[in-house]
Amino acid sequence: MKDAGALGWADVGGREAALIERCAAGEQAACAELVSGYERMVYQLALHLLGDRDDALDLSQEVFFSVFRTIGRFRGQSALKTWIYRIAINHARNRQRWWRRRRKADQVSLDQHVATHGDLRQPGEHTSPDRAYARKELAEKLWTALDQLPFDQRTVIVLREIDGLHYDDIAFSLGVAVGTVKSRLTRARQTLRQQLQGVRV
Amino acid sequence: MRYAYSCAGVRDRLEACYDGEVPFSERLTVQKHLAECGACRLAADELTALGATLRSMAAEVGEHAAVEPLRLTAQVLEQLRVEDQLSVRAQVVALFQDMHLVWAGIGATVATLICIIGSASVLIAANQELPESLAGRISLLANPGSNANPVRLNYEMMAPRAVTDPAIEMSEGDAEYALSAVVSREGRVQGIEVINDAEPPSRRAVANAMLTDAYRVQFVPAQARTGGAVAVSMVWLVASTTVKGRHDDGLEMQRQALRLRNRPPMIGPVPVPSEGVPAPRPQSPTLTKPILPDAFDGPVPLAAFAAGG
Repeated sequence: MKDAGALGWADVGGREAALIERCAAGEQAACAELVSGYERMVYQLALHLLGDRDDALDLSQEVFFSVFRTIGRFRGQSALKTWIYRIAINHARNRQRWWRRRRKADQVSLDQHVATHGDLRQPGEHTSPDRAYARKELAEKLWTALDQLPFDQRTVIVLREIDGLHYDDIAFSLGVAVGTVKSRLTRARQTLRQQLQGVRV
Repeated sequence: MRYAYSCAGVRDRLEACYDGEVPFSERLTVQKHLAECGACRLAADELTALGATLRSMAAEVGEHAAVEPLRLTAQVLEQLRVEDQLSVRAQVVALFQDMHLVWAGIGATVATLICIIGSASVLIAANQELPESLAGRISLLANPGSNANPVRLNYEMMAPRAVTDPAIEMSEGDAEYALSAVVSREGRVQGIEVINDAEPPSRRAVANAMLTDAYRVQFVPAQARTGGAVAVSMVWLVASTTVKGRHDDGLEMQRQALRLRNRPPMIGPVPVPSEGVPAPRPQSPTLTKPILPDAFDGPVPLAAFAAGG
């Protein structure tokens, strides 16, 4: 099992440490390298957590801005990736609160967004229309269910299933204990399974 | 060899096993159970299917997002550059490019400082309490027992006791002085005044020497009932008295006789008595009255003090 909590500079890797030091010194080329290396990861996480592309872009900018402002204090307590995850999740949580307060009335969930914009790739030519419909229905249900999960449970399941993080890294990113991660994951899976009952997976 | 799990045991470990968070041997045991138990295998399949669905849909969304250029790098760098420009340091540097503003700022700062110092000194001067002021008097009266406001001794207090020898040497004969003094909280004598000051100027030097001696006397300060030391005012009587002693003649004579009787007899040639002449009787020594002064003359210093206001 991976032990993210006990990582030191030696484990982070010389190249990553050098990049961090250059960023802390305010070197533009290093900042550009860091952003281009992690922008896709941050953006996709933001998209999965917030369910809105513009919000996700905004959030990604905020996250990198925050990363550069605080990178001088980064002491290799985790991998850089996990540290960026942590910052992204904190920003997403704040934005989620704000977002829910401001747009509770006309909240647009990802399934509606997907339905409107046709985000999901259409099924291939070899699939039948029935199967395509079933997939679409399943996708909509799943995104609705994901959107209705509490933020912490949604974050845990996204980090585990989509981003493939280990329990330790998830715990560090959320600032909770590993036991809490396990229990949240179990609850999230139970809820999703219940929501998807009756739909063929 | 690991024991086989029950269904409940497998269900407990199923998620951790699926997430790859269990040791390899445990995973093997669970997989062995799944191969035999249909219900548990169904649960495991559900778990796998859920994860696969989530991942496939995320991949589709991500794939769509991946084809879009994010242009995050440029935006973030631009934002950082703007923030640097708007940072306090950058603004201060820009401010110092035009020295007119700097001089104006320095002038304003100096003026403000002068105003603050002036106001503060006025406030401090206004707040100072002069001892002669009404506020000073009130605070003095509010603290009875302080050195500036000594109290009268009463029966509830413990009177001050002298630590050093309170006897005062006086070079003259009979004299009596009443001194008014204060024994402070620290046990020192202060503010001594001679009360019966009807003496000729020739004796002023004697009185001054006496006062100097009196100041040297150390006291244990008076204690109030509550236990705290308080300053008390007191009257100190200094009397220099000549004591005249009478000599007792009879007693002295007896002592002399006793001394003679105990003296061994003198050894010497015995005179031959002449005929017809009776030998003289040995004479007892004549008792002489010692000449002693009638009295011891000299000042015997005595000092006493009586407390009380």
